[in-house]
Amino acid sequence: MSTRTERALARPPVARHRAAAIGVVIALTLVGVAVVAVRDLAVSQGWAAGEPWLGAGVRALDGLEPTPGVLTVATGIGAAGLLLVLAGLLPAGRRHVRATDAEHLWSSPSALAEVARSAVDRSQGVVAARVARASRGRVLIDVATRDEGSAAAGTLQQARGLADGAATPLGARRVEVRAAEEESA
Amino acid sequence: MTTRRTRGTDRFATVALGLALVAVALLAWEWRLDLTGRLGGSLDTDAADPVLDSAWWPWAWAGVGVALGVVGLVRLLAHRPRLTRGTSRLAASDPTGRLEVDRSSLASTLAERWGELAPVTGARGRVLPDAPDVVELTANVEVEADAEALVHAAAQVEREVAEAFPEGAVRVRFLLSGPARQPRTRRTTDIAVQE
Repeated sequence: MSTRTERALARPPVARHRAAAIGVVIALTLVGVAVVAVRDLAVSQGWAAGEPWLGAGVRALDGLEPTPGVLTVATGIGAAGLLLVLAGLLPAGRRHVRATDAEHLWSSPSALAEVARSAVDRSQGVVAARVARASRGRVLIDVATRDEGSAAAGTLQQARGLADGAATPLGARRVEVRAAEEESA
Repeated sequence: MTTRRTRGTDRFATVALGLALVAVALLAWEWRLDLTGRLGGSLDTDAADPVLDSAWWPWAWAGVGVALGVVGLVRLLAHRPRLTRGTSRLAASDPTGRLEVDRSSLASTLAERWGELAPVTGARGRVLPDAPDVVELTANVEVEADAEALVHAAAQVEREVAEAFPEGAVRVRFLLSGPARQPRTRRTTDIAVQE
């Protein structure tokens, strides 16, 4: 097996990088520049009527002064630039975690949460289980139990064990089960 | 999905454009504050007039513009979706004949097999753009799925792939997503409760 295959398998799956969309916008802008340049050539050679846009744009800047309006626009451009620098430098987001029991099985937080939820839902004494939160670091399940008091605490304890046992082999780091708060009508 | 090279180029272009925009903003403020004493007063573009009015300028501008446009088109093409196609050469090939596996058929067959074995829905497969020997299978976990069944199914598919391609010419990776959204029905039922 090639090292390229090994490297690709070792890298965790990542979401589409933000810079990909910006790259498409930059590419489209470059194509737009080509269209303007060819149009300006056609106008300057008399093949089409009008005024070259680049020349008109440069001459429109003549006499410009650093007024508050210009500085406001420039500050906005600078802020957009900083955002672009950040977008380009930050790595792509990771959405999946590696299973501890299978090397090449990766699960999203929502998949982990569903597996944990269904394990809790099958637990004795549980009336309903709902995913309250699912992230790569933590899965939180809200549980409604049939009993109250110490019996409910026992049911929750049992549900915690089941949720942990279900989601940990898939790579979940922290699985929490809590009693659901009663919704007021 | 794009290759790592395309992603790297996108990130470089994004950072370069961002730095250029920040430089424009800093120049504007320098123009206003005049800290270095090099900029000041109103903008004078008279010096550009001889160039803009020259006979060669439209051709030069068009040449540069078209070159940039070609770069833009190449970058757009680099972002087109990559289809799973082509073949992978197997190690059993020798001077008497080549033994190759069709990647598209392999990806769909493995996805189908995983869908049979694991509690998943909508299993589909494709090869990684950076490593055509790796088939990436993605699927939605079934509601009420069991973790053990998921792990066992992945191990079983991996084992079968290893048996079919003992030299490691094909590898497989599994990506599990949350349950697929249930299709919404337009029909509603009104229930009136009488006290």
